[in-house]
Amino acid sequence: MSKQMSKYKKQGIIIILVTNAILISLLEFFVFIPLPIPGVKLGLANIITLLAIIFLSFRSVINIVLIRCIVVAVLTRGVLTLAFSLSGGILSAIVMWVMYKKFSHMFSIKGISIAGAVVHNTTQIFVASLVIGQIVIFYYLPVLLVAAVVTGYITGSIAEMVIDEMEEKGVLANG
Amino acid sequence: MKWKKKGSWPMDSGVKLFVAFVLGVIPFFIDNYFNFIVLACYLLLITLWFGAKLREMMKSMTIYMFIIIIPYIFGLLMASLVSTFVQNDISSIYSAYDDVALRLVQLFLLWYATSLYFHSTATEDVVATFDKVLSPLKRVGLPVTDFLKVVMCVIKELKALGPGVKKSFSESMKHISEQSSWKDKIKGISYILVSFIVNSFERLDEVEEYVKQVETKDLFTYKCKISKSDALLLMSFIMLIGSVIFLEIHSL
Repeated sequence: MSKQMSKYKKQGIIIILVTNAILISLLEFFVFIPLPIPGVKLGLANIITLLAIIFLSFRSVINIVLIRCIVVAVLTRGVLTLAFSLSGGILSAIVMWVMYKKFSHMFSIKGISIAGAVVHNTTQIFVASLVIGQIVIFYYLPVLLVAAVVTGYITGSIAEMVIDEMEEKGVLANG
Repeated sequence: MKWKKKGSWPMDSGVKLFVAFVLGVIPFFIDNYFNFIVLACYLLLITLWFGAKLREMMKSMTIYMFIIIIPYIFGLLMASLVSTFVQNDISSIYSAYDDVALRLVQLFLLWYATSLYFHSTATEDVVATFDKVLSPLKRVGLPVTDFLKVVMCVIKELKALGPGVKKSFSESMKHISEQSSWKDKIKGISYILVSFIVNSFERLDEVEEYVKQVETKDLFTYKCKISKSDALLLMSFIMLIGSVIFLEIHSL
């Protein structure tokens, strides 16, 4: 995000992106992914994180993830899950940001999205094992990794379409 | 959940947060099993007192199941399966049952106490209380109020746009649902999302103007007001703490 951009415009962009991230998660209720794994979601909100990585600064990306996790925790009253969503969300955002900014010649948006989903699920399992103090929980990791590849590919494909459209229409072009 | 329009038990959100926090933390410091029963009874009692809906609270419990319980049970099953093939001794895993059960109960009580707070307090009050609680961070230069202002703006946006967007999504999905494969559904979702996200930026000027105009005090303000209900809650809470300490000392 450029330094010239006003504080209010930055906040406006963040508000729109976080609102979008939460609203598009509603679409997940309408579609079943072809993996019957309990608790696995498409993670459509990841599309917004990817958009933020491409168009905005690192600080804005972290702010978006942070605000999204807090708002979801407050609205769904699932405060205990905040530890899981924050750790997974922030770590995956950092990994995706590094991959896009430093190794974009090696990875496509789909690849970056898959990596983000893998990091997100791995972090969640790691935090769960820390919380209950049992490493046996890691047996679930391969299942989640397969799910991450599928969901990451899907969200990455959608993100690519959104990015193309945004670039074409010049949305956030001054970012 | 909001109070029923300043209903019969309006309470200070700061007092409630303090009580909920301590109730959530206590389970990690007690050993006497009877204390867990006392604590559970007290939590049930204040659930009724706060007017929180138990069913709604239990719904938010499902995520706890998906994140912790299911992976743990799956892990146990896999460990048993692996041990039959490689003749490993998994007695250490099974001997940890008691510890894991205790940890799950502690986590459940922590989750319950914090959920109780959120289910019985208006969002504006929750944000205002956090602004107050996090004020030490303001002194080190962190823009806590600005951050919470954005949080509150997002919540307002969601409340304003949520029902309309949900309706429009379900109408758009009706056309897609007629097609059979999930691939078509994904494709359909992609088209919906692309236009939704791109079009949402048409409101940027409007949102920017709103953020510029709105004062923080219009979104959230915390003023400590100790009512009779708060005094009653604090008294019952002190009695509970006293009983818990008494039981702990006498169980040693």
